Formats: sequence, C-alpha cells, structure tokens
Amino acid sequence: MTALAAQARTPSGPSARPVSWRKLAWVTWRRQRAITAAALAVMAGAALILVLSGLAMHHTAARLGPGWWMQTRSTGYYSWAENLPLLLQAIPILVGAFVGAPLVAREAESGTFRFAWTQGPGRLRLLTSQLVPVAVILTAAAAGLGALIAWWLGPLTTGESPMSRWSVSRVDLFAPSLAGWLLVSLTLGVLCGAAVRRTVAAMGATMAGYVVLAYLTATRWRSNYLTPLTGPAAWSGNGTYGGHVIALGAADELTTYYAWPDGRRLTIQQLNHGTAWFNQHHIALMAVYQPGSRFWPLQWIEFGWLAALSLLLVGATLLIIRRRAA
Amino acid sequence: MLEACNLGRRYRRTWALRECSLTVPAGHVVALVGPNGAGKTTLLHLAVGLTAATKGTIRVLDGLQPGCADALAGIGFVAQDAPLYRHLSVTDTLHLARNLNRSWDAQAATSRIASLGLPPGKKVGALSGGQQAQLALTIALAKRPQLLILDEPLARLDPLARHEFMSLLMAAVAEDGLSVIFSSHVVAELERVADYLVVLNGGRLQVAGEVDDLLAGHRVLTGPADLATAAKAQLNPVRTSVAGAQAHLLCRTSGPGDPVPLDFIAQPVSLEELVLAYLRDPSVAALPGPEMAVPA
Amino acid sequence: MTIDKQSKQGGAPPIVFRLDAASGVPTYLQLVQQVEQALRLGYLSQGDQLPTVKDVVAALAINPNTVLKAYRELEHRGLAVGRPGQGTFIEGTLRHVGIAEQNSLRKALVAWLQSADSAGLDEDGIVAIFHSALRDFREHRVTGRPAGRNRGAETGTGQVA
Repeated sequence: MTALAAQARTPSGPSARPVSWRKLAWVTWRRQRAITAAALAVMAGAALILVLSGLAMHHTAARLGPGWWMQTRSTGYYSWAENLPLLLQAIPILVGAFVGAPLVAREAESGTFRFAWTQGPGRLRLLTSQLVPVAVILTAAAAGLGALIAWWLGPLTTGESPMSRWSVSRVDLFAPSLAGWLLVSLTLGVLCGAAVRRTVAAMGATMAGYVVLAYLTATRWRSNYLTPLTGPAAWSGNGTYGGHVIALGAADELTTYYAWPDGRRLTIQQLNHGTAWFNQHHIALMAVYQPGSRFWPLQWIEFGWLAALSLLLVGATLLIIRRRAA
Repeated sequence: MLEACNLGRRYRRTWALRECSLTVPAGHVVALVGPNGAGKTTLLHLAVGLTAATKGTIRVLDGLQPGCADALAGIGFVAQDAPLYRHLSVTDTLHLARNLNRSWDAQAATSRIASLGLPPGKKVGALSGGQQAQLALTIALAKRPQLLILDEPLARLDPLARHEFMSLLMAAVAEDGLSVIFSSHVVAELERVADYLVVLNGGRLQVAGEVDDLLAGHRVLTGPADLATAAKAQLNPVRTSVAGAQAHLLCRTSGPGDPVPLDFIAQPVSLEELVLAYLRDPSVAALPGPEMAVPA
Repeated sequence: MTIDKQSKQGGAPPIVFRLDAASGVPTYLQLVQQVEQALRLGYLSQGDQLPTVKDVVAALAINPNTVLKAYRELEHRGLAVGRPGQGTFIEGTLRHVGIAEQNSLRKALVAWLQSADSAGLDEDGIVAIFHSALRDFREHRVTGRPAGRNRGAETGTGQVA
C-alpha cells in the first residue's frame, strides 16, 4: 500500500556493520557459562586432590630419599598413583560429551536454532563464537592440569621406580597430551552434535568415538611417532634396560630380543641353549625402544596431530551446519 | 519483498514445494494460507535462509540472498511455536537478542514487555504459550526489520491472546510501515488483517494477489440448476455447488460492469469462501500474469 | 493522507470504533458508517479529530490500510480532511437533504413498495432485493473511483482477468 510504503523507515542505528565480536562474546558467556564452569570445577576438584596429596607425597619422598615408595607402599600413595590416572582419563571424555555434544545438538533438538540462526550473525559465526572461547579456556585448563599431574607424578616415576611415565594410563596425562585429547574430544563432541542432532545420542557417539581413537593411538600409533631405536640392553633389577626407559605401548610392543653379534635375531630353537652357549657366541640382548630424551618431543607430536585433527573436525562441523536444512 | 522463481524444495523424495514463482510487493500484510503440509513452512524457511532451495531461486528484500548478513538483519522471523531458550529469563532473552543483532530498539522492547505485563524475571519456560509468542514477536520487532515473517503465529493462542498478538502486530505495521508475511491454516479472520493473499496447496502456488483485487475479481452467480450446468463451460467457475433446483457458481469476473447471465443473480464473495473454494480444487489457480492455470 | 504518530491533540477523540465481523459489510465501510452515524447523532462535530490509525488498529486488530481506506472514503464524501502530521479531522457535515426532497423520495418509495407487493413480493423478498441493489450501487460508486485501485508505486499484482 502506497501510504505505508511511503512510510518505509530508514533503519535506525548502525546497520552496515556486522554484529561485533564483543556482543557475540556476551552471548557465548551467557549460553556456555554454566557448563564451562562445571567442567572447570571438575578440573579444579581434581587439581585440589593432586595438590593436597602431591604436597604430602613430595614431602615424604624428600624425607625418605630414593626408593621411598618401597617403604610407604602401605600408606597408599602407590595404589593411589595406579588408580587416580584412570579417573583423570575420564576428564577429556566427559568434557567432550557434556560440553561439546550439546553445543549444537541441544539447539537442534529443542528447535531454538530457528531463533538463533535467523538473528544477525548467522549460523557459522554463531558457532565459531561459541566454540572458540570454550575450547581455548578448557584446553588451557587441561594444560595446567597436565602440568600439575607431571609435578605430582615426579617422585613416583624417577629413579628406579617401576612406575613409568610411559605407561598407557599415564602418558596422555601430561600437559601437551592432555590438552590435545581434551581439544579433540570437545571438537568431536561438537561434530557429533551437529551430525546427530539429538543430545543424548550425540553424547554416546562422542564417547564411543573418543574411545576408538584413544585405543588406536595407544595400541598402534603412539609408538610410531618417531622410529624407535634399537640398541643393546641389559637387565637390571627392576625392569629398565641399560639405563634407558623403553617406550611402552601395549605390552607386546616392548620388544626385546636376543641377537647374534651381526644383528640377526636368534631363532626359537636357538633360544633354548643355556647361558654358557650364549656367552660363547657373544649373544647380546637387544631392545627396540624410545629413549627418555624423546619423551617431551613425543608429547608435542601427540598434541600436534590432535590439534590438527581438531581443526579438521571443526571444519567438518562448519560444513555440515552450512548445508543443514531446517 | 520476496521474489521466487520456479522455486522448489525436496526432502528426500518428496517435493515440499515446487514450481513456485511469486512476487510479493512491499508494504503489505501478506497471508500465506494452505492446508497442513502444503509447503507454507518450507517457503518461509527458504525466505529466511533456514533451508536452501533444491531448484529455482528466491530473493528477499531488495534482491538479497536469504541468510546473508543484510537479509538476516532486515528480516524478523518467528518460527512455529515461537522457540526461545526456556531457561533464560525474559530480560536475559531480550539482552541475548540485543547482542545478536546489529540494530536494536531497547526502549521499545522494554516498553512493549511492560505494557504486555510480562514479568521480566520470569523464565521463558514458565510463560504461557501466548506470552511466549508475544515475547518472540517483541524481539522480532525490536530489531527494526523491514520485513516480518511469522510461521503460524496464532496456532497455539486462545482468542484473547490472538487478538492481542494481532493488535500488537498491526500497531507496529501502522507505526513503522513494516511488511509482514504470516502463514496460517485458519482462514477465517484473515480478511480483517491481510491485504495480500498467497494460497499454497500440495506444494504448489494456487492463488496470489491483493485481497481487494481478488474479491473484486470473483463473484457468486446463483441461478437455476439446469441453466447453471449449461453455463458451466462458458463461465468456467472455480467452484460449483449444485442442488436439485438451485446452483451456486463461484466465478471470476472482470468487474462490476461484467454482465450477469439471464436468470442469475450475482453476489460478492468473502475471502474465506474464496480460499476454501480454491483449496477444494487444486487444479484451478488465480495467479497474476500469463501463468493462470485453468482446468481443461 | 499520512499516518499520524503523535498523541491526540486536546484529549481523546470523541468516538471509538467497533467491528462487527459477522455483518458481511466490509470493514472499511463499517468505519465510514460509524463516523456518519456519530455525525448524525451528534457525537462528532466540526473540527473533532478521528482516532489515529495506530489506535484504531491496536484496538481492533485490523490492517492499517483498511483504516486509511475508510478515512479516504470520508474525505471523498467531504466529511473529513487529513492534516499531514496531525491527524484526520471532521470537516463539513452530512449532506442535508431538504424536507421537500425527502418527502418526494419517500412517496416514490411507497409507490415502489406497492408495486412490489402487487407483484407478489413479500417483505423478506423486498428486503433482499433492496440489499442486493444497495450493494451493487455502493460497489459501483466505490470501485468506479480511481482511488480504490490506486496502488501508487506498487503495481497491482493479482489483477484477475
């Protein structure tokens, strides 16, 4: 109608600029603060336990000197150290399932995306503005927690302790690794949420995917980050070989074998000979191992590929959301 | 305001909308009607960029791609059932919407909330259906859009809530010169509010035009049944209802000057009657331009 | 005619509109008739302001164009005038038909009634014919004007052949 069209309003206020990141930051704060705070609280709780028990443990270790753990086995530090990492392993999984999966899935399930995606920023900027701050905060917290764990494990894994920082239950708790696993879990959760669109199902898919990824890493991939070295080893009393700490994955990757001086392996029959025969032929014990000096480079390699995978997962999520029909 | 050209949208194997070519002018209150499943929600979702077209094109406002930043800023949308975050309070929801939009009339929003009597601290989930719809409408209006798109806004509202919703909407149209497109599967009471009508039936466009023109362009001819049957071929009615002795033919007419056949009397037709007649027969259409489809 | 946004001058307008949805009379015409009725009964007089478009629309939940159409019709009938930025005001009065003219019209009507009666038409039939003729007459008068079809910049899509 002409009269009304003639009244067509000039838009008031700033209309040409896109919605500012500051405004979006408030939105993220309001929407994600509860669950992010919950995740941080869990990590803070774990940190508190680590600090309290760690201080006591360091004190005891300092007081008793080397081999302290043999004397204090009964006080439970050792069994603590065996069990606590398993609980800490749960943190990345929980974050992925409870923070990551609902990010998109809850909006899809409740229909609120029909509101959120038709406001100013559009769906891609909205997702990015929600995900990035949460990811940064939680990954940084995980790094901090990992550093704390490294400190905590210190007295337990030095010297001739049979507890190794390379063991499967512990190696991914150090800062680079833990941060990487949390990041990948979070982004995997977001992807599952975007693909599955049902919160509970997405949580399940996230956890399943994480477990598969972690299993493959532990059994196959981790020992191949850098080609292991091969070298002569010697039995010493507590299971370390020639002063090196050998990389552990699943037990059978700890490879040791007897070899001729020229390097050939002994056959099964030849292994049945006695010690005299071994000494006569200068048979040596060889080991395939990762030297201790590679511990931190390997950690950073793990973080590196996990971070790269996280980026891919985010990219896939953005692609799915971009093409999603309502 | 909205230009669709051979627009189609398919979900797996079903076409929710097909061959829809439509030009909706600005400055109107457009009613989009049709039975459930006719494609109304699909068309609206295409217009706001929630869905992408499988075929054809659609442009909104002044030739913008739906879902682009300018289109998102210029269109206020309220989806079916007015989805909002249930755990946020009314105030928080307004604050959230403010931070999600380029331009925002905070004062108008708060004064509307106050005049509607919505308690600012109450959680959205605790509001009634009518209150949620009012809140969603307030948010859509507060971003100062040029076009407002509402998907079945009255569906869950009781008569009083409906009246209040419509009066809020019409006041905004009067004040701001806003264009509105709203869908409804209830046809009664449209005549008071809409001045442009679009009818979708089975995913296809059936009627499109200004309400005044559509009403002026149709009439009911009432006359003897036998003459009516004979005159059918020549009159090409949209709908015929025949009894033993009397028949009504809903026909198109070129205007008040159009001669009435002998023994017939002509009466005007209401919008509801018109829409129902077209909905009953998907093969007829009343579309502008040369695309008029008439039954064989 | 512009839509007035300012609050009413000098207090509330004298009349308020109501809508009879089931009456079959077009909405804009109901508004026109209510203004004329108010004039006849003395509720409205020269210089009074009619309710603003926004207020009518908010109270009745009708399309603003309908109110604009009604106010335009009142202008055409010489009963009101729109002042830009201020509102619509009553100007002029209902045409007074003189007593003599009224009498001769009445006589003609009575004569017609008698011929209708002798043709066998009963009261309801008379009323039906009267309403139908009145409707045609009114439509002819309204749509015959260019104002009714004036869409300005927008072309009238939906022009049905």
